[in-house]
Amino acid sequence: MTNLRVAMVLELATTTGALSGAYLAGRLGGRWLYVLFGVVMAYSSLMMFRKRNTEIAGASRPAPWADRLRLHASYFDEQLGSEVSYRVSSTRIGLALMYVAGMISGLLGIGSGALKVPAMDLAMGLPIKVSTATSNFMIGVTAAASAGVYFARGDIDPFVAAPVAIGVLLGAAMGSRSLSRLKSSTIRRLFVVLLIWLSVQMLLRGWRG
Amino acid sequence: MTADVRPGSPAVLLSNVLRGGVLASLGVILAGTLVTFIRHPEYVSSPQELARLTQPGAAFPNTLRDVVAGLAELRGSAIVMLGLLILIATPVARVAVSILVFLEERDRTYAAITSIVLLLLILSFVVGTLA
Repeated sequence: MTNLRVAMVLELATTTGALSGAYLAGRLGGRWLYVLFGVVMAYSSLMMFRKRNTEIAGASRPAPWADRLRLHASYFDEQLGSEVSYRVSSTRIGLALMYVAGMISGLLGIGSGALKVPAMDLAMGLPIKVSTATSNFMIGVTAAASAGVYFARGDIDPFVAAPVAIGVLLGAAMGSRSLSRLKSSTIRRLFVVLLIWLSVQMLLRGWRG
Repeated sequence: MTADVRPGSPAVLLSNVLRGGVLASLGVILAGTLVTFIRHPEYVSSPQELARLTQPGAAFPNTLRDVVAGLAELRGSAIVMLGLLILIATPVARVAVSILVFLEERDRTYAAITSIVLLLLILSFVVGTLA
């Protein structure tokens, strides 16, 4: 389900963003970033909530960049039992959003999948399952771009990271197995709940300083 | 994109790199955790001792040389760190293999785009270790 071309084009922006984030870290207060991140998450959850009943969105806007980069593709949807073709649009807006997503993950140390999925789903018109799978692929790459910095700084506590890594790897393996079988609208609804929860967490963290 | 699923093709290598990397890191992290508790039974018997492991200010291996030195002494923290480094390296390897996938499809544009992504990743590691 991963759209490798979309992933690579967008990785150009996320890795550049992560590099800028690593450069800016220490020069910027993290506090307002948490607030900004929280507000963006709240907005995304609202937009996604409005789209909650859509199974497959058909983007039919003209998309010169996506045409030239041959981003349009198809995937087999196990739940629908058929091949779903889709068109990609707003590549430039997607790139700009991914730059910000990369910068935020470099600055705050969070895998910015919560920004990537709405950017692909809402702005670029990718099906939610493709957005999720592609974001999953991209998160690792973006995280690797900033993980080196944290490792060199001695900020990675192996005994905090170990249980987190084990849990996340097992959870991700289970999640990606059910992704194909779930209804797109169910995934979007789950995502709205997750975004609201994240948004509250980030706003609280920014509030407390 | 139609994935080429012949055995030994880059597309198959791509999914094997990911699965292999994740399984290897999972195994190494578990082994490191186990070694830590076997060598320091006090972490199991005393919650206060255990809490010291995750307190801020504790020193962790933060260069490859530290990790290698720690591995030679069979230190649990170094083994766990090796597992985490494998986990960090897995997506980087996946990007490298993606270049092969695009090259085999004679897709020069995407081979170039993916190469730039790999260069940016390498650059970030260099910048990260110099800073």
